[in-house]
Amino acid sequence: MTDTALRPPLESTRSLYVACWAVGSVLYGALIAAGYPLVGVAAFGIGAVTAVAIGRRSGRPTFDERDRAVLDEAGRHTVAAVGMTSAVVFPAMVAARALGHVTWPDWFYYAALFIAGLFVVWGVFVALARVRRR
Amino acid sequence: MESDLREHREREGLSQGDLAAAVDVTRQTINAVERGRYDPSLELALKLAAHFDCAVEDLFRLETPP
Repeated sequence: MTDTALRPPLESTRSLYVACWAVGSVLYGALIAAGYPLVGVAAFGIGAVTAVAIGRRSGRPTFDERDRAVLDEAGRHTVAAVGMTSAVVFPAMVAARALGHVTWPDWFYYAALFIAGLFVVWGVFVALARVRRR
Repeated sequence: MESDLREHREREGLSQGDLAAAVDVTRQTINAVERGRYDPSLELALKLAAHFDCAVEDLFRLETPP
């Protein structure tokens, strides 16, 4: 019997890792909503630390290359969807405001700033990735 | 990409889980490669070829155009 046969399947480690993050995140939101923010933060922290410990204890990557390909694809679609939506919605809203048709609620201003910041971060990582692959 | 991975695996009497453990990926990844849903990286293709003691070209080839 090889040593690989003695190790738990990669998908078991992956499922445990994801479950810890999920349970921690759900408790975080639920406990904040229930009026116990500090307990929520503690639950999230415990979930996060447990997940990282499970990943490290396995001694190999928690996600395999197909998992990473799936995450890459989801990330690409997210960036494209947010980018294309922003490219239509924000200029349209700026024009509508300039013409006096709408007034911007505060949240819209902060959403625009957040998305602009998001794409600055994305641009920095694109530049870094290009430099690494030169 | 077309694959003969399933034939090689079954010839050796391995389950998808056995092969997955041998090359350090999930069983779902082996299943996706066999079904043509996922093209393996060069690293995984080389690991699979090494496991079956054959060339990568014996396991994978470009799809023949219709």
